[in-house]
Amino acid sequence: MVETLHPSSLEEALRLRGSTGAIPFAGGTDLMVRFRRGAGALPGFTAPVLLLDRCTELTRIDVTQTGLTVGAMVTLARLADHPQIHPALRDALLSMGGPALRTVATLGGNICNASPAADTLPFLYAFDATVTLGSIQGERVLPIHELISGPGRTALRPDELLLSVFIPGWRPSRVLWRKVGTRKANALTKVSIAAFAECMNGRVGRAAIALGAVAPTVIRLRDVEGALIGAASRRELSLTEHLPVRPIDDQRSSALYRQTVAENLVTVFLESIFH
Amino acid sequence: MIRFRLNGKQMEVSADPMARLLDVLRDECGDTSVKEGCGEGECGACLVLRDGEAVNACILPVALAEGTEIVTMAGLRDTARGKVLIDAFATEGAVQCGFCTPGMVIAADALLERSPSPDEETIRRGISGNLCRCTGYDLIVKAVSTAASKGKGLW
Repeated sequence: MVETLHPSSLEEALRLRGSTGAIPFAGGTDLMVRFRRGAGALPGFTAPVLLLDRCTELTRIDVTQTGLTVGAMVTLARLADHPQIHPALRDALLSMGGPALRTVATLGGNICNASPAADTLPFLYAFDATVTLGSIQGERVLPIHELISGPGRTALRPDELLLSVFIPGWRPSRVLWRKVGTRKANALTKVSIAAFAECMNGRVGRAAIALGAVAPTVIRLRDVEGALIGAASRRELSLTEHLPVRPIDDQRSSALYRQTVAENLVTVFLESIFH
Repeated sequence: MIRFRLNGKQMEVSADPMARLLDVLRDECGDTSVKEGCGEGECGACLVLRDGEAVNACILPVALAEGTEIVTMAGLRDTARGKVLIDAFATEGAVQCGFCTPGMVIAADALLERSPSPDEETIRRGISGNLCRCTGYDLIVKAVSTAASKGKGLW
């Protein structure tokens, strides 16, 4: 049995995190599965657990001129209901688990779990979202891709908590979000894409393409994005044949399948830009 | 001590805060209407209402139920909404082995609370976190639709 810490404010939570290094516990929908030991048994946590559900400071959604600031403890269900979020993010949120899971699971949890198959991450990478991390020492802001360093690994220091995520406002005219899984609900992602482009006078002005579950972290296709800028037709693009993906074989899919589907999804997106 | 209300009754349990709500309900409170299927939040057999919203009791630490109102099938069955749902599930033949049924009924109640006159697609999304290996879902979808029309005004 491990110690359970249940602070009633963010300030208390940061103090406890600093003094104990306890595992931050948001909705717990990933952690309770990872540490499950079956019916009638306590989950096998190996370190103290820091429950964050009473930190109401982390449940705000603030709309500003430049975008949306979402507290780390905002649930997937509440975020999906918000009128200001981009439809592609809403689709990504509603593709996760089932309604009951989304009532409990949080945006911060999905990010900090740092799964290469996390379904909010391709969108957040493509939108250049930033995260605010806090400790009793103060706060710091990182681009989302600098927070996540590998499968299940983040740059979060042992005394820090994820406080909020800033999602810049952007309304690109070309949008592709696609999650490939075995079924619509309750399926983990085999491959995913969040791709966006903005066209001005028939030419691409800005593009962002992120792929999920084909590398140790979600990746951006910077070379493809660069080649797209200024292009007015598919023919103008001289793209290398191979994407910089490094998929793996696992119980959900094979590396070859992931590679092939990722390439096809990118092709679908490129063709949709210049249709 | 962890306190919450269960089907209208005040409960006080001396469970570990990280104990699964499912185990506390079944083993401490004797409420076996809550079922364990997958144990990892994918099948919905363990759904209960927490302050009116469906949650998976198999992956919810009891600490996250503290101070809330939990309603299970054992409580819902005695309410007007529960009676309409049970009647609709029986009339439409939406129950075969019955193991998924308490979770399905809880999911249906939570759905109708948000969306009192759902179309078929909305119903399918509403029960998308619940697995049924017998019925093929069509009869359950029909039952939820019947409950929505028979129970107009209840949700």
